[in-house]
Amino acid sequence: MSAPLLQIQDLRVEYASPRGPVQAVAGVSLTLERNRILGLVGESGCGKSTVGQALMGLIQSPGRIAGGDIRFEDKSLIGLPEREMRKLRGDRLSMIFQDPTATLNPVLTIGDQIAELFRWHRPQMRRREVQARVTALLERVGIVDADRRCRAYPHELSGGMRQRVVIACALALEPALIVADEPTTALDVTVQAQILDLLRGLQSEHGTAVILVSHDLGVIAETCDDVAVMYAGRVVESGPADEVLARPRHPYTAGLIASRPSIMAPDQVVRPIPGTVPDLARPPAGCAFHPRCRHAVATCRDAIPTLSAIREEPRHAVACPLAA
Amino acid sequence: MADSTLSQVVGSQAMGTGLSAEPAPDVARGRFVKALRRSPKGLAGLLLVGLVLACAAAAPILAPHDPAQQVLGWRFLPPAWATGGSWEHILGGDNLGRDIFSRILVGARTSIAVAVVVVTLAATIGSLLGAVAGYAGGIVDNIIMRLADFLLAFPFLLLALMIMAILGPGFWTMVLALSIALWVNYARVVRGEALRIEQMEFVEAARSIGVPGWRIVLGHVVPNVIPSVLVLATLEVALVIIAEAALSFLGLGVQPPTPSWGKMISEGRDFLYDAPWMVLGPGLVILMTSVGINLFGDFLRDFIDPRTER
Amino acid sequence: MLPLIIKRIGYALIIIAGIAFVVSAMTKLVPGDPVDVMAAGNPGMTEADKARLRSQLGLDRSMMDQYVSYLGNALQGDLGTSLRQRVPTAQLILERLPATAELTLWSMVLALLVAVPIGVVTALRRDSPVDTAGTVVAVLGVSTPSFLLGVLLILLFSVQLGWLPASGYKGSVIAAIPRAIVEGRFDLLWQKARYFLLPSVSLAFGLMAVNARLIRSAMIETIRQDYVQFARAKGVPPRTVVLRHALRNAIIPVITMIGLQLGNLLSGAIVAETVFAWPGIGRLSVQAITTRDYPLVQATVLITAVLFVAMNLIVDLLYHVIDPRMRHG
Repeated sequence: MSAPLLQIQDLRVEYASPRGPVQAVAGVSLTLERNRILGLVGESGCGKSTVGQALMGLIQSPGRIAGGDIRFEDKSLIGLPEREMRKLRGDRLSMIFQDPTATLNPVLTIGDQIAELFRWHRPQMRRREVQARVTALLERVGIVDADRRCRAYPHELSGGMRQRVVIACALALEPALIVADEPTTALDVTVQAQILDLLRGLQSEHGTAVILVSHDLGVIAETCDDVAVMYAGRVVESGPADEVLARPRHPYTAGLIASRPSIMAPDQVVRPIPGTVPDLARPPAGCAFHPRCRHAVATCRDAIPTLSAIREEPRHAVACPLAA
Repeated sequence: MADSTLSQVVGSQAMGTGLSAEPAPDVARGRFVKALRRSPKGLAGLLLVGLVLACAAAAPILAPHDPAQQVLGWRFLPPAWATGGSWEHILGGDNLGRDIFSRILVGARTSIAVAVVVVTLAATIGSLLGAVAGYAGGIVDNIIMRLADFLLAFPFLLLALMIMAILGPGFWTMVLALSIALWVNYARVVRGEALRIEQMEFVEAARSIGVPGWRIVLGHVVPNVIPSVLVLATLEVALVIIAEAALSFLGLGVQPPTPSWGKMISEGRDFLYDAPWMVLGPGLVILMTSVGINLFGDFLRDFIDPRTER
Repeated sequence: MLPLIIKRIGYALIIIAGIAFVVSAMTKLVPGDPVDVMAAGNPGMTEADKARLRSQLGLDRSMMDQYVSYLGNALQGDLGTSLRQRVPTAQLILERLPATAELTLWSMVLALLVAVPIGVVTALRRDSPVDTAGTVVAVLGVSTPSFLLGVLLILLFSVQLGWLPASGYKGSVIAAIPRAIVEGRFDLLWQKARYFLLPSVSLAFGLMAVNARLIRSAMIETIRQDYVQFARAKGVPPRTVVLRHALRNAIIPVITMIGLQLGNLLSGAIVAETVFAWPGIGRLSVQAITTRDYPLVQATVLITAVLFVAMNLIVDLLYHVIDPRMRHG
């Protein structure tokens, strides 16, 4: 059995702040195989975006990777010299950002911005070849009249189209892994569905692995094979998406699901999770969720629970001593 | 009597709608002092400016000699630390045998006098026009703002120069020219504030009771704009001091024998080979004053509006 | 975009018309009898001269009359005759225009050439010693009046070191470029350029400081933008990220400001020309004012204003070309 495409072990990311170091990611371990979509879900500030950025090597001062390992294609990314990392970025690993309006450079044409990838990673390709690939890419992501659109500027396109361009950039060099950070959050609901469809279609076509970061359970449910739920910088539950979402074991996951109103069940009582997310500069002792947890007991304050597999569903792990 | 009930009504209306004029003066002052103590920029600026102000104020006492007195023996006298200099004339003598140090001290008075008069004049005229424009609206507002835009189209010095071209050189024409070039900024700030206040409920309430417009302006617009106007004024004092120096340098401002730093540099320029200290003394002082005011003004600006990322 | 251009040009014309009015009415605005004032500044005027002057200046006519006739004359190229030098003012101005124009140009170029790298570096190395040094330079640049800097530069480089001339003008550098290239003699260029050096630096310093600050804050803002992160995520090398992605955007506010700054340069040039005895319009204006040569004053003020407005107009329109977002209104 070959090594998994991506293996994150006990990743820690710290930010320096006036109030002391903040543990944005406090020991996250994840595994991703080829051709699988992993959803990373949690509320704002739980560290899910940071994991994606750390993976891409985009963490900059005042943040830093404080520990752990990231193994991609059986190579460790931690400690990789920047020059090597740069070769991987865009080529083997790429990222889709949240707001397509902010992601595309307003003074460059969209054709230029896609072509840029070829310019740096495939310098031997000739201009006409590159141009042909760019046009083909635009067509593949569903932009009609690609030839003419190449010379358009981002502000001439709608939000959905801009995100398609960003996706085109992410796919241009057929990477093994794409990190999609809230790819649909900034878009209208109808466009969201289109973009997710596109993403799924392209993923299966290329066999690309995807890490989909989102706070929207609906998006995760629809798109992902596996899911990892994060809270306060840690993974609190993980496993196949349908199992975790149908039978959540961690109180937080259950709370997330319960707090979503569903059109299908209009009479359902929506129960928000009481309290607010913790201040990561001064996290609660022991389990970070225990102040808000209905089932908390005294021992919850003593130790930080580790992620352990549930006996009946070995691929489903949870970080709660009461749930395993 | 009716007045006091009126202001009570207006006042309580203001409180009722939760508006703030400005925080209690003591609190604001305390905050200011604390921020000042923590800012090297602000302290350095204040120090420099304070030094210059002190010199200007104490000029008659401090100045060892009469600035206009010309003594043949003092011509091109080097400063005290150079060979041939004496401690009686710390900064040496100029081409006409006048004591440079004394001239610098008295020159401080000129610069500060001009700056204060100009800024006060400009602030007053500008604020008044701005308040009127904002409050009256309509044609009056239009005319005043068009005039402001017109004047604003030109750089400050150029405008002052053009006005002086028309009015001729001289101390008072310079003051007038500088004031005319300067009032626009105040007008804008005050107008903005007037427009903002005008929309508030208590103004309508006051108006419905029959409080005359000018009282509203005076009683409510003015107190609210004072902080912004003050900051503007502080920053512009530096501008005016330099403009005055430049105009005097060109020979258009202060006329002899009144000493002015700018004029001293202009005179010194002709004798750079013989007596470079003629230029260094006033030059250094101009620099000190200008740097000091800019630093302090920067600190003030950060204090009032810390949102601007620098 | 055409209606925009027309609107801008129209506005500029209105401003110029307004200035022409003020200028033409200038003699009426002067306190006292302008002819007496002029006579005081120009010895040797007879009563007949004065009378002629009075009618020439139109002191016996209404402001409107004066305005119309002044405008009419101006459009035909007649801007009056200098009292002092007894030649048409237009001629004096035309002779001196190139010197001022080129000085302004070189100063702007110098300022930007130095400001851009400083701005970029201080932005990338925020809060480092480099940044602090940059701030010190910026404060000095903003606080030092250009005439003082000019005199100090003369003191250092001409008087003490003797490297550069203290004043004078030996002709246009730009005009000398073709010949220098053809003949391969760049010392020819230097002959002329050395006269430009000190005046340009004295003008450029303040401008450079302002622009360096501007670029710094624009860069800091731009670097925070997502598209810069995205460029990094694409594996684009850092230098390209800075230059192509960040700077390209950060420079836009600077270009907006250039119009304003050219104006400041113009007013600074007036002073610099006096310091360095530079034969330009600035010095001409100052001379005109001190000698109360009213026709010359009118002409120089008008032309300076027109130049200024025209410059702003051009830069304004240029801005619309550079930022693609503006092209679509």
